Amino acid sequence: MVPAILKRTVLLWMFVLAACTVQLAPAYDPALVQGLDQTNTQALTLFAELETGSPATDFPTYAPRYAALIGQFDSLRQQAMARQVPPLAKRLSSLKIVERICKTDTDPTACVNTSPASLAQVLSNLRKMRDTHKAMGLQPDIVALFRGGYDPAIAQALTVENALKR
Amino acid sequence: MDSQDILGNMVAALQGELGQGYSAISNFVQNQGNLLARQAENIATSRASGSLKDDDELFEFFLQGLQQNAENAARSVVMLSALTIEQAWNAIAGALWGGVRSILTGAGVPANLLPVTPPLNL
Repeated sequence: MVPAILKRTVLLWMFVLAACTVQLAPAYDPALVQGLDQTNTQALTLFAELETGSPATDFPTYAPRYAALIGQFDSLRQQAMARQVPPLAKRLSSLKIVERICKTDTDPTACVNTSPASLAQVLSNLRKMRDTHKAMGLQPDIVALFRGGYDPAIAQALTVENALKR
Repeated sequence: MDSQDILGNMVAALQGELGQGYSAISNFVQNQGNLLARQAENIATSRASGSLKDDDELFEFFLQGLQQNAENAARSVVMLSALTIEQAWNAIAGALWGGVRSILTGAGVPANLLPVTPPLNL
């Protein structure tokens, strides 16, 4: 037979637990997702145009395209970085078990708002590609390598941002 | 509604959320694994017989990029896991709250005093 006090304690805890929802990641931002989709399409178009290679003399034709892409992705990165991270998520990311992967000493939101880091990687690729194009042109295998650096980073940002729709 | 119904609803909600979460994480890991492996292969090929053969700076840049992408992928998995935990918890809380609410209203507590969804968000 279960003592009445225990029953009441269990019921009270059930009530408290039932009354609390949690938020462990930022809210979905449709404007950010739309911006990522559009800018990704522009970037993939540029990669498609350059995949057979391009000499340095052609760089001036492409310079405004690089500038537009870098500006748009940087704006999206700032947008992702500026949004509010739920306080509970910040507290949980300082737990020892996630600290090693998340490096919370340098960025407390590294694992609960990952898109800024992924977009920083996208930007690093595009900047280096622009500089390489300008300095010595782009060989097809180098374009493929820049694309290979771009693809995982944009896939991370798109997957995570779409997953926030809940 | 009795405790068995509440438990059944909680388990069903939990199974749904965990199943979806696992599937999303599994697809993501597989996709990232393929992309990173292909990039590693392309770097090695280009270093051996392509444009990276005599370009140490670009070779170093692509290696660092590969490492950074791998670290970011791991952090994204942590974030997707946190989202799954969040959704699983909220699904359980929703089912539990629904059960508690119907028991309390059945016992005579006015329904307008009890919100339809759990009232606290941490």
